[in-house]
Amino acid sequence: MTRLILRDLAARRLRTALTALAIVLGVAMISAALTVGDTMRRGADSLSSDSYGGTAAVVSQKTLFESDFESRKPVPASTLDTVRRVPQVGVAVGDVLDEARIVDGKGDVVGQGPYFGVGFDAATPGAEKVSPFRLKQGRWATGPGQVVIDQGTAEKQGYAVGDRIRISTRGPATRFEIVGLATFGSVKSLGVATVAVFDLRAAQAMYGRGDGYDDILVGGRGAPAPEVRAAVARAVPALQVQSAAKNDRFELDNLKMFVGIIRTVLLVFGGVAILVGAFTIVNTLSITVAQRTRELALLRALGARRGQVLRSVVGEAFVIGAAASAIGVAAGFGLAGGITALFGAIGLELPQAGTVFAASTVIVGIGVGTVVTALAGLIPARRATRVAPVSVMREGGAEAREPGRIGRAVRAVVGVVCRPATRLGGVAGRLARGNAMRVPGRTLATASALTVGVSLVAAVAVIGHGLKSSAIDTQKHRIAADYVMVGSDGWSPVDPKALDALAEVPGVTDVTGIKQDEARSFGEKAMVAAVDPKAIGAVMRHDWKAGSDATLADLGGDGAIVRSDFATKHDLKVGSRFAVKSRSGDSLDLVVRGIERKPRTDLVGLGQITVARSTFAQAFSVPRNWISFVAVDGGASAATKKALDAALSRFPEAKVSTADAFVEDNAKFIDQLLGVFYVLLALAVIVSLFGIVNTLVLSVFERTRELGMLRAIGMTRRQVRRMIRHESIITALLGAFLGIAIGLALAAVVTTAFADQGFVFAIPAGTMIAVVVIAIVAGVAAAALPARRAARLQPLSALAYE
Amino acid sequence: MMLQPGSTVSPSAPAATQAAVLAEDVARRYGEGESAVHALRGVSLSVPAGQFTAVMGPSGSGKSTLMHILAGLDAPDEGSVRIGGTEITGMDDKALTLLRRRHIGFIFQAFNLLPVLTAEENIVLPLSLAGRKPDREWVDAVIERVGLSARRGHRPAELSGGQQQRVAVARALVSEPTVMFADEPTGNLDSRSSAEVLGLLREAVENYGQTTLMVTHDPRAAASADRVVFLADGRTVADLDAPTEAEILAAMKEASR
Repeated sequence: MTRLILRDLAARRLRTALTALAIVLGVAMISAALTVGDTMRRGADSLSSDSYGGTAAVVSQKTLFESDFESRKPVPASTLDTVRRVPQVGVAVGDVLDEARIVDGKGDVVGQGPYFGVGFDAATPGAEKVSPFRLKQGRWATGPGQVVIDQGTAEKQGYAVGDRIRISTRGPATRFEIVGLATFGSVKSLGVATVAVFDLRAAQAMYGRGDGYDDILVGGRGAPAPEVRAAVARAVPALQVQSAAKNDRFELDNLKMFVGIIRTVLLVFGGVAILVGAFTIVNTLSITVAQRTRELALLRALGARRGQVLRSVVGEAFVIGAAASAIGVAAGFGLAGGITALFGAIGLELPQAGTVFAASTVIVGIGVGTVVTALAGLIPARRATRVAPVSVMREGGAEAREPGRIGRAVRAVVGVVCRPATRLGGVAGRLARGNAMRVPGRTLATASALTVGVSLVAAVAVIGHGLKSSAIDTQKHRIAADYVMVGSDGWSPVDPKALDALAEVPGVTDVTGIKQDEARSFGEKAMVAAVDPKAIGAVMRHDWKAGSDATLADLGGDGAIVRSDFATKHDLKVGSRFAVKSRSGDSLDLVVRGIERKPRTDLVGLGQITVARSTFAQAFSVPRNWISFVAVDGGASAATKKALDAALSRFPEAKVSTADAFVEDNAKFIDQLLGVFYVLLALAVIVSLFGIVNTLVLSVFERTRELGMLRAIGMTRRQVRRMIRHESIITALLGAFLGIAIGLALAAVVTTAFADQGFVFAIPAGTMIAVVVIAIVAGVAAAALPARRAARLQPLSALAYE
Repeated sequence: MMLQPGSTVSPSAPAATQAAVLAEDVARRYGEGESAVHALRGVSLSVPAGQFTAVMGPSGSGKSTLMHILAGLDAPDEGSVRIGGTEITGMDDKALTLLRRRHIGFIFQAFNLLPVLTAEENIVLPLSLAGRKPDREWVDAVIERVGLSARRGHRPAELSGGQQQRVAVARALVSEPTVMFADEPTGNLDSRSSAEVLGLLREAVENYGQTTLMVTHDPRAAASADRVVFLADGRTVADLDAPTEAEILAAMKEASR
């Protein structure tokens, strides 16, 4: 039986190759996902150990809870001496960690953050032991105006030691001389992050730390790290002593989480591709079983048991699956590079430390591919066992049977789908329609592989489109200001000096900035926003549940506006009292003055609690504005925009845009995300195309005599090709329309379920038309090979008898 | 084994002017060198317009190859073939296809109807392929003639073998071809259906003057032809004018002796 299987595969090379290709692509996607994931994870892990390995303890101010928001008080200088006196401590240095944006020649900020600005105490011997930075060239910065930058950024920008570059720390960018280049541990690139290492004293002055530090980094003297931490903690009981990993100064946990998400997303897409591949396998093997009815019946007549027939078909699938998976794994390593490039192209460059080819990737890839293929083979195999031995005596073949319910449904859809094909294609189009409906089950199975991919595309497109339009509408309504200023990367807070510069532009009537920080209230994290109560009403519209714009104006020293969901959850009414604690442990006692309805989407991001700026300052130390608003005389105009841009020329870290442009820009990330989804889903669509090619090749083979007859009675080669092409287009369109229908249904379910989160059902007509057009193009492409084979058939084959 | 050419053979009369099909010294071999099979070793045949000609011969006599070549489905290694006065050897695929469309009708042993089309759609298929608008009256007349008026909307699977072959006859007639080729048209039919189909072919010749060339090994079928040409081992061995079934059987015996 084994020999028969192998002979069979060899005899039908093209079909075998096409079937295998579907699996190759699916497995390639999975192994690429695993490889990219492993590579990124190793990158992140080695960053982590390089960065924190030599540090036994980090001393900082106590915080109430972990937060990514910068809002800590400095550690006093005297603490450093105390720590250094602890016997277990080998080396202890003060450290400042803030933001520093490197500005390129065009005045744009380099990288996309985080923008690490570090104060490093190079003067203390052994300081390098507790630092993640490894000097590769030049020397450390020892005074103001000097900087060491990371090698990755230097290479990208073409900077060298001795160059003078502009860096924005606080306020306008100033000039620094590059005195050295360093790497972040052994990792080549930190993705889109940049690093600027300053002299410690210079950093303290620039960032307004006085003589204090953000952290004290401690290296042990040989004792185990926990012992060192315990000893240091006894010496400075009022401060927080953590391991470096726990403290996570460089926010590597976020990176790791991000890496994990990407890996999962890639695996999901790989799974989709494999699923589509399985459809193709089922379909192809089903057709071959139908075509081999006579051969199978002969085997049965000669005494083969059902089990043997079953094994022969499953065995065939198994062999195809194993071979295809092996090729797929190899292809996956290549695809991994492509995916990394794809992420790079949209600015999601990830840390890399050399590609990781894990043995587990090979095992998982080959295992999944083989098992899925063999399982997919079971369905046609069971059909094969039902072939009666007596069929050997009959004229075999899958000729027109009375269609069942599915068949009639397919015919109905195909009838609609083919109308244009029939019109355009003349007799070839009409024949194509007839052929497509000949075995409706087969056409449906072929099309459904495409349906999987298209339905996901359609669902994602509809949900994304709805989200985007709802976000735009909501935000355009919310922002009453003429202009909005945010960080040039769209999310980094901006120094208030930039806003001061805008205020001086002629025609500007009002400027106001919003600060925010994470706080703790009712035992949970909550965002607190600080606004200028007098100015905010003019630049932002509130949707009041209780209170009015007047409420804002007299918020008072203890007044707060809370969001409706927060109010409901904690049973707050106007007049209710509640407390908020900052991370540094300072507490605010607040009274609810107004309740704002929760916006469906909130780009401005005020959060659950809004207080006056002066109130905020009592508990939080946030220097920068998260978002700022500008109102001008006579509304937005090109001239005003120019004047505002000019005023910001000294602040490359900030950008100003009209309120509408800001809202639309922000909604663009949804398009980018959709773009990535489309690219990944394209693979599933390509896999399903192989299914169409396969089915067509098989049905051309099956119809050899018929095609010969058509050629004999006057069908030209061109007409033959057109007929096959139309068949392919009909199948593709059937798949596309079913996919769109299922996708819309899926999107309707999701948008209904999450309506309160801002999900809206809105059909992007352009995208849907594009899907249909792509389906047609795909149909034409899939038909190329089968159509050529069909056109090559000699008319004589109509007269050849077995 | 084989008859010496020349004894009872009267070489086909050269009637070039009104010949629908004219083959001269057609030779065809398959394969090369020692193992080459000579299917035709120089056959000449003229089929006058309006005549019903049958070609007979034992298996391997080359009768099928001859028909393929005469119909422009296969190319001869030597010799020339004219259809309606046009030399077809050396034509490219497209020209041949268009020639078949215009000048040739086919009836196959295995009917070869398209299962996805109705009887009527199958019948007008040659016209549709040529982009010609069918002449309603003519199509109706042909369908009427083959006795399928009540079944024009049926699909081949819903028709008996005899009915399917009648559809095929109508399909061959509908484009009024210069010559109609029938390849063992009764090979897959019972005797009653065979008689019906042969009757239709005869009628077409008499009523419309339809030139017809039929390849068959069935003496009864051949007996309905105006003329029977016998082939053996790639050569013409006999050419009888309106022979009876008995004469045909005798000639066959002679041919295969």
